[in-house]
Amino acid sequence: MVCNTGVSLTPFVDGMVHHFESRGLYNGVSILWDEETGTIWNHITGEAVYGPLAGARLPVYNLLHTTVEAALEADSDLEIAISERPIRVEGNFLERVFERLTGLNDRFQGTMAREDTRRPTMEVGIGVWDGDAAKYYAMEDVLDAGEVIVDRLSGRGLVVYVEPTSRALAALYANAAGARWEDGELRLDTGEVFRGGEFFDESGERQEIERPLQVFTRWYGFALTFPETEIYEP
Amino acid sequence: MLDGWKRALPAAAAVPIVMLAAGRELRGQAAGEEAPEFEVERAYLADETLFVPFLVEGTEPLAEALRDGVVEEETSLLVMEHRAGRLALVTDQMAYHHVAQGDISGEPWMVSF
Repeated sequence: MVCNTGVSLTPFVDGMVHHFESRGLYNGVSILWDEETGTIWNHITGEAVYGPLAGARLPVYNLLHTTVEAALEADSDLEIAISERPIRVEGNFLERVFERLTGLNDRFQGTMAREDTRRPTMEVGIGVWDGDAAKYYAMEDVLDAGEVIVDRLSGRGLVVYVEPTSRALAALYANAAGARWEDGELRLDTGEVFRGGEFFDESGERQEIERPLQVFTRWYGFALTFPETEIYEP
Repeated sequence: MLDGWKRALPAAAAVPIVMLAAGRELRGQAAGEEAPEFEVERAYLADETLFVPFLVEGTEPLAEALRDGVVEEETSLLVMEHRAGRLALVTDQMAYHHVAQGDISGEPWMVSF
């Protein structure tokens, strides 16, 4: 979809698997419909917003942007699901989409009640959320900060960075006060290092990566889904 | 089109409802804020699916797909970090399907994009 927002979810409701499809738009972003009940679902938060199951929610997990090269470097055993659709490989997918789509057409705008004008509608950034806290980081601000920002979310240290191969934004939890990119490695002032999609402690031991829920998105999509979101200010 | 969708719903559901009831877990709202009402008249809702979902019946090692030339090193991927496990999908294909779902060892998963 235009906002490029994606998550993974568990399509399991009341003891059975439901089957979903993209059925329309609301607030300029895709809405899901399940064929078992005809309920309408928010595709980012997993909440049933209209229909027989309104109020139910699907567990949500992250969906991260990467490339084949980077994915294999992080996990050489990773599996892939490939459909019958042709695959275009010319150039970076995200750069292609962001260059091509610079505005919303009438069909999208007609589903939007009011825009949050704190940032430009089509601005690219990352939205993160944890419990009741939500925060947005503009791509431009992360680039200006040397492609990494150290901040806090829900009382925890947060590192927001540009993923080197996909050029998407991503975020992970770490208790650092500072960080910088050096020779393709993200070095935290705690001695921890993020490289090749893996996170290592100061002794070089591989660590589990902990991330808040996040979407690499356009401002309007995140702001209309999380209307009370904070915005990172440099 | 909207009327067609409404007719598919049980009568009791065919009225605007509050997104989530007070006191329930709210992820898209700050604490203490009232959830916005879903205004169905503002939604664009099709009578039929807009995009064919990808129903995943099998996977293959990414390394093999690269070796066989199905994907290239710079091909953009989406990697889900689901409780069921990690799995890659081709971003370009998901920009068409928008929804993919399947299971890993019997545990169901879904991706929306």
